[in-house]
Amino acid sequence: MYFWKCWRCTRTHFIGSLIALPALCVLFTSIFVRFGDPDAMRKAASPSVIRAWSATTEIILGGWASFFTLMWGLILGASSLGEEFKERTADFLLVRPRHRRYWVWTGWSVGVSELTVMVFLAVGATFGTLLYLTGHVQSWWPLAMTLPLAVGGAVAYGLTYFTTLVVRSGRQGLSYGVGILFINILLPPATSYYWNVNFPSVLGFMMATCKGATSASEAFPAGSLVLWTAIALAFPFAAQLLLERAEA
Amino acid sequence: MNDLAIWSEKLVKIYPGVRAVDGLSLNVPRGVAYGFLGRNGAGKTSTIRILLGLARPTEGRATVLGFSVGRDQVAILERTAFVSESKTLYGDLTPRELVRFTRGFYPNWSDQAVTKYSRLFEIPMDRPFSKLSQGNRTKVYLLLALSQGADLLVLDEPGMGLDPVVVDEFLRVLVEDVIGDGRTVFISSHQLADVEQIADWVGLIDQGKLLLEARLDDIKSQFRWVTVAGNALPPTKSPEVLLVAREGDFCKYLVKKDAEAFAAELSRQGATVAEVSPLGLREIFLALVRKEEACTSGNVGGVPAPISSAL
Repeated sequence: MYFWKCWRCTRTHFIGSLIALPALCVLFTSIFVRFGDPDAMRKAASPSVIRAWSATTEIILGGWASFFTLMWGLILGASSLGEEFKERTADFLLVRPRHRRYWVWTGWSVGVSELTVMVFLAVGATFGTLLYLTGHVQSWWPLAMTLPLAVGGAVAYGLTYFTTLVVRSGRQGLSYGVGILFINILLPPATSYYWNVNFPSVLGFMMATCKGATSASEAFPAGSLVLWTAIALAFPFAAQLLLERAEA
Repeated sequence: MNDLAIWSEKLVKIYPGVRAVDGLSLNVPRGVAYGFLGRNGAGKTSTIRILLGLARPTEGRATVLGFSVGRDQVAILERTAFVSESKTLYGDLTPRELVRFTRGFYPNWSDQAVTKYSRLFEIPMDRPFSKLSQGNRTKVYLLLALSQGADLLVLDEPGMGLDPVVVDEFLRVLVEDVIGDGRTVFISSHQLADVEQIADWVGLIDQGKLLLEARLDDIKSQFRWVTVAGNALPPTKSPEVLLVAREGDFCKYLVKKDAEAFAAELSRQGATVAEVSPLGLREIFLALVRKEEACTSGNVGGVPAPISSAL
């Protein structure tokens, strides 16, 4: 029902992204590998060089993948439940016999599912290309990157999902979401520099996953993962509280 | 209370700066067509939105089909079909897809009804909703509402954008398939002639207050204009008088019951009764919602009696 409707209304963009995203991943990875000089690395064959190169690769690939995932999450969240008010379809939707939490969680689930598929695809395409071009990919890298990317994407998605519902407009919700996310990205370095206070940053969390890691246990940021998963889930909960008290 | 399709007690809805619904007490029997009439901004849509849980009442309480508004909202919505004033649906979806989306919510959904009404209303089922004309959009809304198998149909301006032929078909469907099946229709409309064609009861609302709630047959058989010559009239008050208005050298009393006895009483007190005449729904509507100059010199009948409850 609503699951199908959400899928029906987002499938064109989703399928388009499914085609475009792997191409982008392959392109970016190829460019990086080209300028990263993998031949020299292979010739050097020193484990420390390989490790350093790999870490750099991860940071850079993780950086653009994180940024892309965040943007995709933000945009996806803006075309969600809050748009029902803007499009004046909320009158129709909210008189269907379901608790309002049903609309919130169903809509959110569809978006998060699509986002997760996209992340898997992005990571798969990136590391597939990396493996093909360099032959230097450790098996735990994709897994270590996928979860933080998916959770970070869910945070961005949940953020605009919520802001769109608050302001009842996708465009405005997206503006607020982007604003809040940039504050979250820019504020922690500033507070850390001036006051020595460390605020968590979602982009930092996503990018830090593989930084300098040499094993899965080092790369897997369990504590941060729990924190950001909780934040990702807080948005639909907040949206539920809001919608249950909202007048259409 | 549970015998009523819709019941409300002193319902109030206040928006910033506006008292949209002001102490509304409705009694809509089951199995009837109830015309909910009023001017633009009278509070009709606000009332409907409260009943369907789209808005929260500031004060008062209400039940729909015996279920408490707010507390039992899902139970109400399972049994109620709603055609909103805006008639907006998902632009990308075709009517066929809208049917697919809607059907799963309702245990009494009828695919036969979909086939029947889509043919009757000649709905292009495979064209995106955004590309449909206003009339066809309304038809899709009606199709979805009629196919739910709901016990109560709440229709807010259902005839908007429809040509007279389709309106006529739709009213026939309401009478034969819905009311004839013992279900209830609550119809809010400006089209008094259409409402008069099917309604058993009417409720007339203005500035959030219920001015009148009565059986249409009672209105036709008992409501009368009592026209009296002169302005300096004897002070007579009657609970049956809904309205007193001046018209040139005459005063007109809108009497809901026992008009002849009221006219006789005026005559006994020295007034000259010029005419006692029946009136239709349109005249009652216009008389009650227009701010006509009251016949004050004789203080007859007083202020339009606190608006009538059911006869």
